[in-house]
Amino acid sequence: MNTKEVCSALTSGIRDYFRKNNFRKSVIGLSGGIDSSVAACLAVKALGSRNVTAILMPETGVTSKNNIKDAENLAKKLKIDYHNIQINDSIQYFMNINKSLKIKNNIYAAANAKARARMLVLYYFANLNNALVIGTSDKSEIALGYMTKHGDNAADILVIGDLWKTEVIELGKFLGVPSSILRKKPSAELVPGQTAEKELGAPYEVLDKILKMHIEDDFSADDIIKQGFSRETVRNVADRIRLNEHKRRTAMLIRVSERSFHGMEWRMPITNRFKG
Amino acid sequence: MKIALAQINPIVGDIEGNAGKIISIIKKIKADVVVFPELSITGYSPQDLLLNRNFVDENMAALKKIIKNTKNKAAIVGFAGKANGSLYNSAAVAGNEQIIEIHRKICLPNYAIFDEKRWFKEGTYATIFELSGKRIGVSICEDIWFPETTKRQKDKGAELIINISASPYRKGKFEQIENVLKQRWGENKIPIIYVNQAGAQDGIVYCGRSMYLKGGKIIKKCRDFEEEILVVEA
Repeated sequence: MNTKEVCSALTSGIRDYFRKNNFRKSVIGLSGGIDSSVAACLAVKALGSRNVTAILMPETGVTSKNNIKDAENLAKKLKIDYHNIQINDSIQYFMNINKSLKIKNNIYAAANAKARARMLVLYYFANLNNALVIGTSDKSEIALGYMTKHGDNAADILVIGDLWKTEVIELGKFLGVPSSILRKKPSAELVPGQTAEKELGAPYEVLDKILKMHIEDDFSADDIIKQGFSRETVRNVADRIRLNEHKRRTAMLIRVSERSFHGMEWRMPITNRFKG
Repeated sequence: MKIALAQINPIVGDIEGNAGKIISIIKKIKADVVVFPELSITGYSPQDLLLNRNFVDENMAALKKIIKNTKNKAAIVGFAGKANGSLYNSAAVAGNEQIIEIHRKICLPNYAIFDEKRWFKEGTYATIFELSGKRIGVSICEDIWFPETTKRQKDKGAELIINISASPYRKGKFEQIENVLKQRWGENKIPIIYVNQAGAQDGIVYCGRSMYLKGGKIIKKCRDFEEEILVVEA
């Protein structure tokens, strides 16, 4: 990857989306992980440090102290404002519902509620500052649907959404992201000890190779297995891509008119100054 | 002949703003011909705004206004051209306050992010025009990615090709564009001026890097991704 060139393209994309839609300010959730760190660096490059506000949203007891420290250090290094807002109270809210309705705690519902609690905080600050939310999902996560719908995938602009995780790390090195962040094992940190590679069944170096072949180079799952990749991993990847299409779209609209807002029909630009 | 490569970053739908920018550049730049990117009046890509009759009419009215500002000068401007009930992705060649020629894009891309056949009809004519005794072929973006249009223009006597584009970036794109232009040079041995849109529209980043290719070599080029106006002697 020509990292410098890709970096210029991404900053140009960010800058013009904000400028052409009359926004200056941005809000970003900073976790101390590679994706949000690289996204924050790009936002600062494109918009200037005064226009980027970082929100750290740790869950006390789950989020590691190292991640909080790394996120704070990066915010200081980038000279951006940051706030540390812990999300335990929001999670407790759902635990209380469980208690009062005698619902058994469901680990997926609880984990996704955490990601959505963070989304609420980000959009609250976005509204306060007339800002857009910078999304931090990378292409590998988007492909695999490894994200919470309306949670960490809720954003106004996905600045690293077309970079595989391994490319995000490469870009991170170029942007001077501290090595303590670059070396970390990717984790959503929704439950203690969680790592992405454990959940996804293979390291990102392997997943990205499979994903690139399947998505960009048009290899079928069988073609990829023939290249020597494990059948189980390849099938898992291919199934995840197919089954998570809904996470890459807005809600399904049922069409009954001649001119609907269905995505297949309504293809309007978002950046649009035509008032007629 | 002095030719200005006006690599602008228009805003989609801002017909008045884009036309205003085009006019001020035509007036300001000391050149015989000022060349703007593909669909420079509407910005690329207007998508379904092209289905709106008022939008198309306003872009045609803006073109008329631009033409009135081509005193003692020529300009090549991209616009959505309505003719015989169809819409064409068009390039107007104007000079001395009049239309000299209109090129209608022949090769409409309909893959990846492109969906031009949804809005446009294909042109058929490989356009050339004459300016100060020089025969110039004008084409739009994809027209130059395949050999045929440029060859037809060469066969009609073109001594220079001007291509107006809105080429989006992806990894490896710059090398690809340069290779395509060098191939066209290799086939026809006539210089090429390539003027591309800069900046981004809804997550699609346009390359910029407009260039002048002569003798198989890139003589001059504009910045990547950002606006720039470059005047070349061609």
